[in-house]
Amino acid sequence: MSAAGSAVSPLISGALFAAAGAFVLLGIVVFYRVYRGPTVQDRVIGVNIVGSNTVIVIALLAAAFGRPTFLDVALVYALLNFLMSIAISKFTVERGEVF
Amino acid sequence: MVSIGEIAVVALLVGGVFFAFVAAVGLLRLPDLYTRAHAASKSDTLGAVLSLAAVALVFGTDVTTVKAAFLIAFMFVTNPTAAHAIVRAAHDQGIEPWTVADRETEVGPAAGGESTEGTVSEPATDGGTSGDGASSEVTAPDAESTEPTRTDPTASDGEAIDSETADDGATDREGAAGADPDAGGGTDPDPDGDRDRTGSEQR
Repeated sequence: MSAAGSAVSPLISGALFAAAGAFVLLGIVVFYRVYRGPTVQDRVIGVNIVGSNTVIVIALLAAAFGRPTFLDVALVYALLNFLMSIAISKFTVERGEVF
Repeated sequence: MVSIGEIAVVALLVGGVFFAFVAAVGLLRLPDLYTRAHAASKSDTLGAVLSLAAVALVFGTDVTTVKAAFLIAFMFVTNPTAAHAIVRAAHDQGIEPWTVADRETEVGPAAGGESTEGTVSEPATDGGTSGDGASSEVTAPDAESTEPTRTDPTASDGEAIDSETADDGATDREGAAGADPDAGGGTDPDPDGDRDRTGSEQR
């Protein structure tokens, strides 16, 4: 009701934006492991963490902008992230190191 | 004026960012895949759950709170499951865990095996560059020989990164994976060669 379009208080929206920015920065930091990681699984774990950080950023922006529909995007993104991790782990077991 | 709900939201956000930061630090600093997965799965899941709880609190009494609760439950289940699947795949491929013996062969007996976790990586570079005993001079050429092959693609890394690669170079699989930064930079030089090496060291 209060979230349907009306903005949240400036303190809360500022805190949400700050947290979203922090999560984006942490995702960029984690990309170092994706670039560097000696094994394929290191890269997959890094991508998994970046993906879950993205889900959190989308949810935080949904709360900050007061747009509840963004949460659907976050749900779909979380599902795709999970499926990606499972698929790549199964694939690397079958085929060896491919990346 | 600040209500209790706002304080709770800010506290949850601070906790979520803190645990995500812990996960990122663990992912960058820990020595091998299994410890990295350990840090990443648990800490990042807790950070995600705290942040999404803050989102659910902001939406208040609404239908969208149910969506946020679904998201929390989903992250809580899938994040450790994905990490478990990845680590299991790594175990099936025969990637060996990093052990204390790897650290001692890398650091050398002069540095002592009982150092704390924060100083694990620092004697690696010191022992690599300036050994004070004959036994540590034995280990020094190893560190010198493994380092250029590993740090060639990303030679502009910082000091902490170099010490971490010195840690990594101790394990057997890291010797085989020394060419893998090439695979990261050049997309794939020879995937078959990598797999053959991991297969050969497995036996």
